Amino acid sequence: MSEVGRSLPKIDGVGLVMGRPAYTDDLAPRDALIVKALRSPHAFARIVSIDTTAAEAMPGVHCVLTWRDVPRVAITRAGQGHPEPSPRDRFILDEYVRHVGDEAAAVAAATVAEADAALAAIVVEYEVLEPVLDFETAEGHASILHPEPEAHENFPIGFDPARNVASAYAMKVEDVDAVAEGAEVVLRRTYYTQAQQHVALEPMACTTWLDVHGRLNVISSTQTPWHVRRIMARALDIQVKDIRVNKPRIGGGFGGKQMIHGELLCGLSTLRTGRPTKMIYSRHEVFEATNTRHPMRLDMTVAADRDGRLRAIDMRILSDTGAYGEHALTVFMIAGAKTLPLYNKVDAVRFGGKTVYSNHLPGGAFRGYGAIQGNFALESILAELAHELDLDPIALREMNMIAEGETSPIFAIMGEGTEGRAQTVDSCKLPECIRRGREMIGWDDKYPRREVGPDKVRGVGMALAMQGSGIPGIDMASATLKLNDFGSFNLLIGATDLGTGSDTILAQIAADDLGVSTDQIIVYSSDTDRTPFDTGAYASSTTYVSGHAVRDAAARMKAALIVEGALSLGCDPAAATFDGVEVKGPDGSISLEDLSTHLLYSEHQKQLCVTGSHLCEKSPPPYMAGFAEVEVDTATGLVELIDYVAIVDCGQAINPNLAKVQVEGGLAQGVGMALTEEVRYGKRGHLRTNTMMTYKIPSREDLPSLRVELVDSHEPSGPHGAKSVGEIGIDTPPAAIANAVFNAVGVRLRDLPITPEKVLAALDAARGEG
Amino acid sequence: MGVRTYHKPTSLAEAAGLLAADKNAAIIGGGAFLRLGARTFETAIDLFDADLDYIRETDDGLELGAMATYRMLETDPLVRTYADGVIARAVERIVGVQMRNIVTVGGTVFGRYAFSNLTTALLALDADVVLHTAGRLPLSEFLSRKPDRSDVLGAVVLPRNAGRAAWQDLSRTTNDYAVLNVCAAVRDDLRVVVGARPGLARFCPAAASAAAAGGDDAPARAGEAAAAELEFGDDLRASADYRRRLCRVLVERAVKEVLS
Amino acid sequence: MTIHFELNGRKATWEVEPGETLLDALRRHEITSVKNGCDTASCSTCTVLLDGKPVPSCAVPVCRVDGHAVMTVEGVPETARRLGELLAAEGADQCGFCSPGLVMSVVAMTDEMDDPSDAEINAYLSGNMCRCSGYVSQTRAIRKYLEVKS
Repeated sequence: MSEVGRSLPKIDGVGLVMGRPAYTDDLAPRDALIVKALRSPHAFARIVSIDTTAAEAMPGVHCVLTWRDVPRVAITRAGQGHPEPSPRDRFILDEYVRHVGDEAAAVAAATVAEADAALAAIVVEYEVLEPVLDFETAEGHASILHPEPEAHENFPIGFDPARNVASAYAMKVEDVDAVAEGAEVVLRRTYYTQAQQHVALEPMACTTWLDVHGRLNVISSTQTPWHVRRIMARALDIQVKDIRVNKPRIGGGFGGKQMIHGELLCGLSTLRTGRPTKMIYSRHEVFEATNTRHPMRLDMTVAADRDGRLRAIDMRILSDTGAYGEHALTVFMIAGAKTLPLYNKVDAVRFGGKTVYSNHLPGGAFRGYGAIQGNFALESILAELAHELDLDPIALREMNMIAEGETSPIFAIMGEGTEGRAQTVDSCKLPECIRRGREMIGWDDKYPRREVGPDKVRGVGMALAMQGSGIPGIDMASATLKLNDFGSFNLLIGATDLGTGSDTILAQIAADDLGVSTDQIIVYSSDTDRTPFDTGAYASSTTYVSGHAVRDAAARMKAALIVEGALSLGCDPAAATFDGVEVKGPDGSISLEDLSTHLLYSEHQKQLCVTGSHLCEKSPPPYMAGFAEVEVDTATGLVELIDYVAIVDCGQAINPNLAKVQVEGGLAQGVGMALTEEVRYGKRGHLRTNTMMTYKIPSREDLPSLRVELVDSHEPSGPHGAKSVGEIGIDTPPAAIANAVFNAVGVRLRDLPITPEKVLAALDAARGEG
Repeated sequence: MGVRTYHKPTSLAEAAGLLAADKNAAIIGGGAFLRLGARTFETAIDLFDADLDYIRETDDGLELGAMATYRMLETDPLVRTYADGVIARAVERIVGVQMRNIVTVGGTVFGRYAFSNLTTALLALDADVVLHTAGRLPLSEFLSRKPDRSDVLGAVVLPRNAGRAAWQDLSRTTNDYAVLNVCAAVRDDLRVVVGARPGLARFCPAAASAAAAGGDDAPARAGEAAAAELEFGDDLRASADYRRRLCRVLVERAVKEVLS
Repeated sequence: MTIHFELNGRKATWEVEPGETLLDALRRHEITSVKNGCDTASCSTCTVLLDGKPVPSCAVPVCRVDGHAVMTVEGVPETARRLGELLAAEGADQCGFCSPGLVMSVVAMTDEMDDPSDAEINAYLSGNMCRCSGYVSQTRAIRKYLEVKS
């Protein structure tokens, strides 16, 4: 029976529901010192002096760290490949603090209370500097966030710290201006997307200790164990070989754990004290001292003919990377790279812009990774164009969208921080996604609007999206299969399961290829000492890239089993086959159970252990069509989501239920970004949304109906025909909901989130009152 | 939470005695924000075992014990039928069942939380508070007095004759605190109360007069009047201007409903 | 101070700090199912039953439970397993961090309500925040759990 395509339960599911110890804080040594950071009350300041004498003398305090106590090595905390495409613009601790909540010092103490008391006893004299709080005025601002000479780029990314520019990029295909001049209709619009926070329910957490060999052991709630190891080694000025990083079960990531957080202060405290330490962020710290989605301003131009044929698209972006340049270039590039190829029939495309520093929370990786920002702008302006041309917005898209067998020059031009890879689209079921979504939402009956009561109007809107599947030429994954007696296999994988179920689907792939059932595969993952390498869980790469590595390992294991089985049977391996149950030769067979047991104990003894790996060579986009139905209260401006339909082409789903829930979860976060989630600051740059009471993610009552279907699709380059599914679900809600609001009440919201206040103001403006 | 000593008195009188005996003592309410550690108590007095978690009908009216939780209010048949069930409607969407199992009537009223839905409803319904020392007084009077942390709130009493009432509010997500809340109630006369302005809940006498004047446009005029007579402020949830607009609409809707 | 209470059906006597929360005391005593998600009683990840009612253990002073009964997932292993299997069958379990709190809330819901509708389930569990699933798969699993139970 085929194991791929089955909705098997997640292998760790029941144990986690039963509350067994599995997460970082559950596993931290009981005597671990508590590491806590002293956080800046200022948006931008220089530490003039810092006196730790009182703190160091306090009971239970083992170590106090300031910027003078840490290696002066510039790093980035972005968990990316080597060398990172983000600027190296920070230190474990620095003389400057660059946002409220930035780390000024740290203590390691025996208890939480002792750590808190020690923090309170540290005396810091700050020289408060004029902060940059409006990213639109950051470039060339009198305040320079990164004057330190050590800050540098690893390769050209447009890093210009003297002008507060973290990265810059521009590309073009043909001459947009000339094409626009000759086009019948030109629309120019500006859109804004806000900072969003991940709100994984498990806060950032890590624990470190020295083992018997004096090596630094790290358990971390991270998406990228190998990048953590490499960046820790650099920051702590020790060797990679002296660090082991292990990711246990983690309580959600969404990109938020694709950054280094407490690992550096924890690791340094352990090195200084010789003691185990742990750093478990409070929710307040998660909000105030991790990362957000990069807010952006997107200046869009589209040119088209009256019949709806798109002639040119121009996307110019200003992205706010906050205090540090984590993922600055790549998120901003993806805003174009993973949206513009959707409409490949245009004569000209231009993309460009900058990422600037400000004294807000640093930007970082977040599911969608720029694509959701780009999608909001592109799919909004196309709806505006359809309205301008009096065309059905679906028809406009069908006329211009990419199709199977086609390509876009953008694939070759734009990668993640580097050039891209040319590719042909071998699977694209957008027509089917649109057909089915249109039917499920009831578009033909509901478009554009229906009055449903006094002051209540419902409207429908839609958006298309694409993402990628891994980063070509960069993402590499590997997998080891080890044969046990009585016929089970250890699958050792570097891939990092964030709760998504990747351990399960990779076991399904191994089982399917070996011809055994999934419960014969024992998975162990994400341990830099004990599993082979993987770049990590990001860029929608695990199924597509790690899945291929597992296939490679399974093929090698199968070949090895045939060789050993043939030896046992006394036949030519070329004449033998393995079907998952037994190795068959021309004159007999030996069961997997017997062969595996003999190999360890009684006959031609040896350990069968094989490793496969896979370098991502292509990044086939998954596609989807998203349809929103909203109800707008025309008197209050409140927008309620009534229904959301998402039809997704992710290739062959390895585990349809897990794939579907990836989309449902992505939609929920996208709806939050569309309607309620917003990181907000006070006048002096302090964070106002620093609890879950003030930063509002959707509850289940805000998402009464999310309906997801996966269409039949097969990606020839994918493992068993699979593409990615982790990010695509988040991309469409902002644009689809904005379009639905427009269709309902005729007002266009171009800055997120779409709050009742903004809707009412727009309605008032349209009605000529206020 | 920093606490030196923890008491769990078994009666209101014992709690009042403990409070009087120690000037550093304080009553902890439901306890919802304990882990934030914002407050330090030398001596904490917890009313959890003081037999104040009751809802009962008395000769005076409907009595809500200080430790009656929001969840009790939502599920209690007496409260659910009192004044068209506005109290249950006011509290039943706040955060979640878990939080509503610890948030209490006494903690809310004594804490004078401006964002409170419950306080708005209780004011509109002419509730009294019963304090251990100061005795019984109207909630409106209690809220206008200077806070006296040496007294203990024992109960809130709603008048026997409930009358009719209507509830309106708007929040960003279903279970968020309200951007603005409105309760309109009719017993002998009509009262309109608006809370989460974001300041503390206030009566709107002009709106009530406009509504009482009658006519098809009475609700709309009540909305206009409330928006004009109240002050509104900016906070994270909304601006003063939006609240003023919202006040017009929600008061109009509440008055319309209560007069229908 | 010393408190005496019932934990998962057994008598317990603990030494606790007067200012300690029930959440912190439970984790200190190796009840690892109880997780801290938000510190402000806003996410329900830390839900336990206090005298049968679901409460956020981050907002309950541990001294309050003296003389009362506390139940965590460790006390309802059969229910947790059954619900866990149904959640996993839908792919709804995801990162699992909020699952023990969800299980305890569902236990309380089934005690309080007969045959709740989807809207009633959503209202009862509205405070149980989940960032992974989008909730709808959880509702599918909970509906199946209620069908099997009734």
